[in-house]
Amino acid sequence: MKKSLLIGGLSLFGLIVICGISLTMVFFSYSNREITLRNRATAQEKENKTVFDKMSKTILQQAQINEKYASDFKEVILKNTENRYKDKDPAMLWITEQNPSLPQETYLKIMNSIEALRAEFQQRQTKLISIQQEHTNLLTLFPGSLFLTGRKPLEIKIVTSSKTEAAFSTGVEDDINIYQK
Amino acid sequence: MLIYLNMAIPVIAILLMILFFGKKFQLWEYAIIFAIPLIGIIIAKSVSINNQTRDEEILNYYFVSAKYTEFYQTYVHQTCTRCVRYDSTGCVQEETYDCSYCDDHPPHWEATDNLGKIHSISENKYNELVLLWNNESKIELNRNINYHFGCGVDGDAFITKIKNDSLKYIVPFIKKHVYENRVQCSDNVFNFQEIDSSDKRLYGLYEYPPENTFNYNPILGVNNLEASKRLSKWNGKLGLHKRCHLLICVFKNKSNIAATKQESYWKGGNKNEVVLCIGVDNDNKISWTYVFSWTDNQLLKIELRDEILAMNNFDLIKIVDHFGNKVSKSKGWIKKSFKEFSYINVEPTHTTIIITFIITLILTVVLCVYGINNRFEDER
Repeated sequence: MKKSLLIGGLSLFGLIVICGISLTMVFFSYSNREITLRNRATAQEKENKTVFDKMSKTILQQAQINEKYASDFKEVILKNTENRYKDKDPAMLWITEQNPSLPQETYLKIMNSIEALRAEFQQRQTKLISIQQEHTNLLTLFPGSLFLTGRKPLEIKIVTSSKTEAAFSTGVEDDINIYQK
Repeated sequence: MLIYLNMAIPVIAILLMILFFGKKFQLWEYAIIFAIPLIGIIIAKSVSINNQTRDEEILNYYFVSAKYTEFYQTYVHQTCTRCVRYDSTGCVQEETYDCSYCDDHPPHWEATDNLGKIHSISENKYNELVLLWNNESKIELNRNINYHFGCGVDGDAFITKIKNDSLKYIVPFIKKHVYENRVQCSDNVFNFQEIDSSDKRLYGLYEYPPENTFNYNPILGVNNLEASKRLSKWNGKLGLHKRCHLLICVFKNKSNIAATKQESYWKGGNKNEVVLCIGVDNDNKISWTYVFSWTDNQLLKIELRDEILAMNNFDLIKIVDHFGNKVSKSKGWIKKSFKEFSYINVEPTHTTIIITFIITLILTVVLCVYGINNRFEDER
């Protein structure tokens, strides 16, 4: 009788110890996961900043180069035309020539750059949102919610435009004419 | 983590056993009631997660050389022993006899890929390579053949090598590779909308092409064998260095929504894929293009989309060559590492949790009944 009581007691004690250790491990596992996600979000936010910086500088500088190219091109054409018709018989001016046009490739390149860099930045922002989603799930879903009570939700910075913010705060978007100034 | 709540069953069972059948249990029996369901739950969890995250990508290679080893036969001189008399203790007398035999070595054909791995191939495949590369040479193996009456045939080897890596000489083949894709089964923002069968029918969406080692068709929606072979050759050529897999989906008289639906249906494609979707009208003109891929290089996708659209006429061979050239020359093509998505949490499915619950319950009951009725109580 005593032996069976001892075995029962020992088993109960073992069970409590195992459950205790398991719960502690689960707590640390949840806690570490929550901290990892928070750190990942911070790192992603920093990465987004650099990508945004790269995006705006690349677009700006490409646009500047394009503008300079266009003005240089215009100057060359003007000078050429001036020199060609200088001291010419006005009677011969009826002859028209086909002037070289500004190559479209430069504009296409900048258009593609804008689209690609914007898409890249959007992907990075999506990743940040995805990390936040995982963090929110961790904090709010059972059994994570049990172990992580009191932890603050992850706040992230998403770059949008004032137009988007206004549309989402009012729930109205009137500006639908694409040619409206 | 929810699946571990099933452990409540053995824990409660142990408590009940301690309370009502304490005399009939030893310590190790309680341990078994706890450990076996735990192992079952761990296995069920890993199987469920593995099934959900398991994905397959197609890797592309090509052959660089092939070898044919001829049939040869040699007589092997050998002496064996056998038992001729037995008694109750076993063999009591042995004798030796001549067990020489004619050893046949069948012919075999093998090819080496651009990774240096050797594959066994068929005779027809070998002949195809010989015909294409046209430089077969003999290797004298100088075998030591023992001739004996009708037995004994000498055999040598023949080898053929690829001339260069131009598309003309490339014989591509594919291999499946399994990887972990956590995005496809999660509710994460990176995942795509679910496509139902009505959408599939409406937009004429495609399944992945069947995996055929030597006759893989990477072009869907058009039956153009020449273009398919050419794109497979491009895939073989780019497979090792660029680690990419090119696919083309052609949609006849469909809106460009079909392409985004296809992207959703394939969950963005596999991590090494670049999928070019082309909309074609009745006059065989390209009406729209769309490129999807997990690569971070957005410029490649945009340029490819615009350049193919600018072709105007739907000339598939021209498109295939442009596609292959573009990716091969693009310095920015980067295969996405799906380890980036390791932070996405994947839980076992509800079905797995319910099945595990039932199995745990049955296991626990069986183990408890066994614990109560086994002989170990008598030993105490």
